[in-house]
Amino acid sequence: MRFSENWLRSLVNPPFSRDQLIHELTMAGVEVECVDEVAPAFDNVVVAEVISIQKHPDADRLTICKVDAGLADDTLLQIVCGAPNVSEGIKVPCALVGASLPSGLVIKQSKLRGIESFGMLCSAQELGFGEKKEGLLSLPADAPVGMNFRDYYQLDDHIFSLKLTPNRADCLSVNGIAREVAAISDTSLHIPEYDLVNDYCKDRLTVNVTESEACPLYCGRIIRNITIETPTPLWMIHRLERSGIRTINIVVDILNYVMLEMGQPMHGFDLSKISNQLSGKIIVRFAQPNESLKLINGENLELQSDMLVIADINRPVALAGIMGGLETSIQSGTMDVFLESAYFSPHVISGKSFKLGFNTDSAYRFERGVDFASTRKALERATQLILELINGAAAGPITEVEGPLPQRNPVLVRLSKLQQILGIDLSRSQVASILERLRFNFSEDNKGIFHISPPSYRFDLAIEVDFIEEIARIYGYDRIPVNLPKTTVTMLPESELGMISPSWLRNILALRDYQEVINYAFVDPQWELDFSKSCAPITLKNPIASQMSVMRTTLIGGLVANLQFNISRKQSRVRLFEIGCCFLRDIGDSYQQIEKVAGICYGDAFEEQWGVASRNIDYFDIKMDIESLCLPQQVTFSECEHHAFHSGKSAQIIIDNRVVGWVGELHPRLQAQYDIPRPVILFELSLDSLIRKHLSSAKVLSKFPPVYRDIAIVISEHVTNDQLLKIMKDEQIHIVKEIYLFDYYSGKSLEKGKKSYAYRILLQDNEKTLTDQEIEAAILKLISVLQAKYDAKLRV
Amino acid sequence: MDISCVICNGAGCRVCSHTGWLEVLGCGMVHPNVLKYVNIDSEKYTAFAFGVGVERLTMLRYGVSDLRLFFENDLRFLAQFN
Repeated sequence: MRFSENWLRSLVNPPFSRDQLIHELTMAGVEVECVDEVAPAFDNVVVAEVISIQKHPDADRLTICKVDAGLADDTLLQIVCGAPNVSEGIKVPCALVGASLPSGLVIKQSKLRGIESFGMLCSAQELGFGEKKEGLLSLPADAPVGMNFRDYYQLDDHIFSLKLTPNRADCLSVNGIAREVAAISDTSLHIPEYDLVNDYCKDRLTVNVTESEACPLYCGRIIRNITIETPTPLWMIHRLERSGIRTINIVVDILNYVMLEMGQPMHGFDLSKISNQLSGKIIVRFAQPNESLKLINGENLELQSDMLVIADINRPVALAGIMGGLETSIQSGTMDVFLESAYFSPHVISGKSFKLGFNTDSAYRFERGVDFASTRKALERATQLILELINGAAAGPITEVEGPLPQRNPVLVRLSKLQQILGIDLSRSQVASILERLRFNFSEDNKGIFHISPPSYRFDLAIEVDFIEEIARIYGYDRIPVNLPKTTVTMLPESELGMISPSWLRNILALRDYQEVINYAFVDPQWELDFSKSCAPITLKNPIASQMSVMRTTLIGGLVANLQFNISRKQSRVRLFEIGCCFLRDIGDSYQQIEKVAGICYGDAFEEQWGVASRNIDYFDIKMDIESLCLPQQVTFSECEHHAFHSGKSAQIIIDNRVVGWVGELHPRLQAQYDIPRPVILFELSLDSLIRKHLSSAKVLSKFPPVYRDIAIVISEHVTNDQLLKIMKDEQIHIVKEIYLFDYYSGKSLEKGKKSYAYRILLQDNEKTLTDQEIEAAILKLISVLQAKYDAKLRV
Repeated sequence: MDISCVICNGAGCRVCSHTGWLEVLGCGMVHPNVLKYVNIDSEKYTAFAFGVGVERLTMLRYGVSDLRLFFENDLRFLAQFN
């Protein structure tokens, strides 16, 4: 909402400077977004009349003018002018010698191609306001010659722009803002009352509202003998323009002016274009199948059945509350008009402009709520202006159709509740005085309860707390003291078996040379197809973009995109991780949100250096990262198929016999598809498997010497270390304390399809020194189980 | 809720649109209907809610000029915050 400060101050003039006014409005919840001056500073510019013109002898485009600038003893000024629209009798702003203009230009007496010039005739642009238009600013014929142009054009004014929240539709008019300012500043409000107009003609049009719930109030009247060419008065043009509305013709300007003044959008129809005119009808109904309407903006709209229209007996003539039809609009040649002032229910209008792809001042107001108590008054006001400004215009009687208007039932507001919510002890009289400032109808009973009726223009006051908010707003949020709440605090014990914080995991990965990233949870459906194991992502009903139309079930898509982004910025080594939520569809309509941690590695294993030969990062590097991430829990890896990973270079990650994630090299097909030059290693784990704390328990340390035995076995290349370790540990030989793999071989000296592993076994007893027999028995037992289960042979 | 502008210290500059203030969070008393949905008696309890735009605060604290940098995940940007 934009408006002229002078207009506002003509209705309410609190003793505030402009800055104070801005501050007070903003603090009361009516945010002033910006304030612009109407015109920058300039001086010595007056209204002048061009008396005579003569061509410059030496320049085609220049004219020598004799100008009456209202100087003493009727002296005419000679001014050389280059504007194409200069003509005899035109009135224009004239910068006198000594004037300084916004561009910094100072007007001096000068010679233009040999002819003396004593000033400059100005365009609006040269004076720092108005649009870029060729030529001089032509003023109305009644402009008083010699008058200071700033005063004449009321340029010492500022434009306020409010950033209103949707609940404050009551501030979408200058009267409404004035009411608000009066309440905030506790100053008196002077909204002029106008005399009602007598009916000069008896003509009326029947109005038939078939949708009284969508249009609970419809007022209309005919006005005849309109002279549409009547110029709109300058003061009205200024107020319209300062609210961002262009002048169109006298009737439309008046209707727009009343909308700005009172907040009631109105519409005027050319009576001669309404079918059958006086014997016709105005019908308010929903659009019927296959109806269309050409709107004022030129758009031919196919009407939908949820669109309310104003129709005559044959066809729709306006999209109710949004925009009129082109054919019946008021334009040059219009003699008689039918004016409409109606109240359309917000729910009928809301969402329509979004659907149509354009918004109008009218729809903007109706969807937020227009004061239905002003609907008839606005029609009266517009009529009064038309009759005052257009000679000979004659108004007919008002036709009013009323249906079920919104109810404004009194709301009980308890002083005690108000004090509880605001935390300050406002007295009854303070509350009553604020309610009076707000002009609310209220009564007060002896139990400290106020019975307050919301005004018709407030659509946002329905329950007790709404009024408490109003009172706080007017009292002043900044007057509510800052007090720390008093509360008792109890320390809660932290369980030793509680959760590890995700920050801990972040630190582990950061210390292992990863950078953390954050990606959107809305992803490209293609990523889900490519990288997700489940691939039934939740689709969004109203996505912000087609590449963000599903919820991620895996973090991998985002990480791959981050990798691409960095590769295209010439990064050759990338290690990233993300901790974030993924969203899964359960059976039926329920959803699951699980947190995951995922990483991506690309490029060299180490930054290039002399001590280590450079090599690509591989699966085993990342396996180590995962093991540290999972500590102190023991992780095992087992081969499995995942369509996003390179088969044979990928594994599922297992903790406590549960699959908790995946690790592997990105499938070469996807690597090519995503245009990544070198192999990529990825991992992803569910977070809840990592954050369980583990309570260690101490074991007895043996005082007896340890014994190491090494065994080398040959097995099929398909058998994994994890499998072998598991069966050996499952034997639970109490003197076997540790088993670990220390060597691996595959090559020509072995049978095809075979490999060799060498294990070191630590044996020890807590009670005594081991004998050779005990050691041999234990080792033999391990070998025999390896033979039995995996056909292992001792390597010799 | 506004904080005084970190760029100009309240004097007024382009970042704060010459107001001296920067909006950093929305806050307010919770509507009784919201409390009703979570079975809290609004007659007995009142609630105050506030939500900080973490990106906005981070931008102000570390002098980040563009919000999009947080989601582009450019290594040259990420590596500045170790």
